Amino acid sequence: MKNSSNAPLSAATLHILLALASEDLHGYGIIQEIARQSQGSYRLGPGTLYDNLKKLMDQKLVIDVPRSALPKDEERRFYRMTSAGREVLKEEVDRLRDVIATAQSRLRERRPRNA
Amino acid sequence: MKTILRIAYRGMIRLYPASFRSEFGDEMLWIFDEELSRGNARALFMDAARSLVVRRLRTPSEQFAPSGYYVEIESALPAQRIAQAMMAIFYFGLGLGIIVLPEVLWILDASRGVHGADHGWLLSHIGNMAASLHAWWPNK
Repeated sequence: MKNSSNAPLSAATLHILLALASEDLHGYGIIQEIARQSQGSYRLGPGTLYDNLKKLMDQKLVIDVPRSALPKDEERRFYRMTSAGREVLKEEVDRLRDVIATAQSRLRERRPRNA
Repeated sequence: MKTILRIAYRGMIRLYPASFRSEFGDEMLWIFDEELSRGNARALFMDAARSLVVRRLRTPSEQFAPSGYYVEIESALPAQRIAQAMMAIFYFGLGLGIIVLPEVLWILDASRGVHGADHGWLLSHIGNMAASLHAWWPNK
């Protein structure tokens, strides 16, 4: 499944998918992982986190980890990125790579106007 | 102070749509508790307010379902609302009883002659009131 509108992902959505790319995490784990990945410069609040998680779950890009796959003493809810979510993340990373490549080439080409 | 902030945040969570609140409310409160120890209360409230507005604006379109599709209607009794209504009625009755009870007791005592009145004091008092009302009643 592709991103519903093929539009660029929001910063929060992108960071959530990135946090879930390597492992299943609970809500607070996602917040901590995002803070770690961004070296503390980007920190999600619970409202933004669950608002975006709900959207991702509705699009089947993220699912709940089944209870049977969790340790018995684990009470918290864990989230897992689906293969569709991984595909969307890959597309977004490719898009960002193109943006960076274009930006770098444009910056190199730029000449002073009065030169 | 933490308790007050927690109550306020819980109040904000209650403003979210019920489906969202039941799914994520407890987890939001748990993260709030964890983050509060870091001293991020203001950021947490701002975040909740922003996401609340977004969620509320988005919910009406999410609730729309085209005709012909199966629509699940919540059939469970709104037990919480019924309990709240019963509590409100109980407290209203209790308050009314506290206000009216001394008057009722006084009238009953008076009708028994406790206050030195005749046994027929209550009946005669009611009769006088009825007569005065009759006197004020417009003639047809």
